[in-house]
Amino acid sequence: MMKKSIIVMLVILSIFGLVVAVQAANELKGTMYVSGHGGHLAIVDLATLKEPTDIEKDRIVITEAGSEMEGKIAGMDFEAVKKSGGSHGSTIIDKTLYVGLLNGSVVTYNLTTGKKSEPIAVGKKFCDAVVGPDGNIYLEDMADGHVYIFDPKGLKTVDKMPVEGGAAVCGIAWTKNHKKAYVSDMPQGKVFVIDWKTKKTIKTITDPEMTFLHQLRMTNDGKQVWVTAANEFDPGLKPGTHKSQIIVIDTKTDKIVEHIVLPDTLRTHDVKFSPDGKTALISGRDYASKDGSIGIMDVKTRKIVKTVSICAGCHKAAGVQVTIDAGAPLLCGMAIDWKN
Amino acid sequence: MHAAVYFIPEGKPRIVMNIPTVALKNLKRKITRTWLLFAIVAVVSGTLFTATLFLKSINNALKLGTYRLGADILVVPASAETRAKAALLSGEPTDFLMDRSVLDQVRKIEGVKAATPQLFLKPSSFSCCFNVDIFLVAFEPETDFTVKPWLEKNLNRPPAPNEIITGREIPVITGDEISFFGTIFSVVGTMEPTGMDFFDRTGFMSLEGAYRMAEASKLKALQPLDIRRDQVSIVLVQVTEDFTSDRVAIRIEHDLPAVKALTSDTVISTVRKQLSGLIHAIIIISVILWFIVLLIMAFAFYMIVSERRREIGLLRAMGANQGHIAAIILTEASLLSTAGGTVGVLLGFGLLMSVKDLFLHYLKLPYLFPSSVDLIILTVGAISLSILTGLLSAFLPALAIIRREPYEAIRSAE
Repeated sequence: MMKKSIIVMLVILSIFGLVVAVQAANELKGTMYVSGHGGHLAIVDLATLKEPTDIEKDRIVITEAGSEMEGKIAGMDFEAVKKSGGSHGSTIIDKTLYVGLLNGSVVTYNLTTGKKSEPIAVGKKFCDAVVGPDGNIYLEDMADGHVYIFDPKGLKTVDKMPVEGGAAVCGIAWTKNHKKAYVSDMPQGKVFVIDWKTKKTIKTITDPEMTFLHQLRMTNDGKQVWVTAANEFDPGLKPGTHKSQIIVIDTKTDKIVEHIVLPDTLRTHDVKFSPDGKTALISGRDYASKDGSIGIMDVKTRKIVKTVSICAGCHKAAGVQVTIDAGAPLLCGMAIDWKN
Repeated sequence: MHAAVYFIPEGKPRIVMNIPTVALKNLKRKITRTWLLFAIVAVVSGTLFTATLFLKSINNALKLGTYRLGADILVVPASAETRAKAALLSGEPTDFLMDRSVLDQVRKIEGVKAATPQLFLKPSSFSCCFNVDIFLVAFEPETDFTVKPWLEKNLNRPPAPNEIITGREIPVITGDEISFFGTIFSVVGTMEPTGMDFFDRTGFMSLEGAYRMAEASKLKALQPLDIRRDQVSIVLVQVTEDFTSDRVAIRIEHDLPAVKALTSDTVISTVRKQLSGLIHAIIIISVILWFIVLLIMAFAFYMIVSERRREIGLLRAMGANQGHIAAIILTEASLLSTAGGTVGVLLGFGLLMSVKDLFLHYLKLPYLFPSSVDLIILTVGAISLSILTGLLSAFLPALAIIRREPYEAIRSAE
């Protein structure tokens, strides 16, 4: 009798927790723009978390890197995607999207007017685009291991910062006091801790579970850095044998304090926190169903409470078939225009 | 085979063979075939040698020229980027101006070790009597690092305002006088050749001399110069060791409006990009040519060996061992390819010397003949490749025939 009561209580509590978590997720208000390698950004209303399905309304076309979106079964290779400027990371400043491309250009897109700039040549092959402490945009370059600093007002490159030890850098985040920065390196599976005053690498964080990294994000309280480790590859670009996970680094000790293992259907590339810090939005690739999706995670319980398909809705409707990279559309960085 | 093979009957039979003579006589027997094979080897080795020498000379000039320039970055008005590149790479006279304040702004940028201004002037065609395009470059002796190394070595003082230093291609000698825009300049020295027209066809004067000339031109020249003392054309920049030139160039372009910061590497890489198509085509054609020649030679030696099966069989029967036979065939191939390779290299060299000016005129590229050591290495390399080709082509036919028993070789030829 006692046992039965406990089980019933646990079930009720689980359901309650799930309901609360889903409610929390549904409390998100804003618009999310998810960069895809096809040069298109998928638009998701965070209030409804409705899967994008309308090829006209639910996407922003930055470049035509992915001719697949036009209903063709394209045999394009990754080099072609890079050359024509697949989108990889973006950020929003004053209703303008600044999109970093795989050909090292930056394109601006006015979210109000829909006006798009010509590509501005900046670097070589961009991963993330992050607004830095000085208001400039920091674009991590996967081709030369530098962080390019872009002036969003003058639309000019300010500097090209070398990352000591970096080869293919993908993400950057700063501590709240701006004394340190964390930079992820994709194929090396390392996170460099940089003294922001001297710009020197003061520590390199490695872990057996970090074999292929993508972007990283500071938690709202500045106490932790969440590093997305999709681990698609093992060292030496051998086929990956490690789980997709988020590696949590304590910014006080610069040590790894947690591994949040994610489902295999969410090979994570980026993570963003809601303004209240309770929810984490995690973008990732799903090789099983050949899709890209966003996982909504309850930060407290570390549970994925909802998953939203990002690519398949439009791709399937338009008869698009991705023919490269194991057939899974490659989505990466998220930019969010929060309303709350 | 001919009389150079000796059979000595006393004691243990011994064969004394003068292998090169035998090989040479064999080549003379089918003189038309020999000449054709010789011509093929000569054409291929000549083509490879000429193409490599031409590209090496361009590369040589680029390296020396940019080293002589001494600058990591060239800051020019944004609108003059193309003209600045053309001036540097092909010495095309040009004149563009920007405010001298750029110099002070550049000096303030982190990563800049030294900066110096230059003024570019394009003399009007009727102001000078020489049959070459002279480009005038005025430099600031106090801060300069382009002409300074030459000055320290040769003049040991800055040039006076009425003095000029000329490039090697300008037909004047020290002590001559040249007039520009109504001002007479004394030639105080001639710079060493660099292969870059920017240096070889340029007259270098002090900035003060250029400003005085501009002021005087309003009274003395048919075409006066409209240049103020607060104007320069270009700012040359050296960067500190802890910064890369492209990083400093980014900073310059961000901080200074309407300027373009060209890194020397970029200027060179522009030429290399222009050349890359040509280089790729030459490499592909060379490899194909070499492979075709290898096949033709191999086929020819297969035929040669096949024709001589009976002779070779008899030689073997008389006591010649496998090594002797192989040596005769390979020596034939070596003689043919050495002669062909050497003549090809000589012809290629002569051809290059006679048409290079035409090529350079169209390509608008710098050119500086490589050093004697490099030339020797290249020549030896080209001839060695020819010899290797000959040896490779004859190797398999030689191997096939020496493996045959003498009797079998004689019978198979009947």
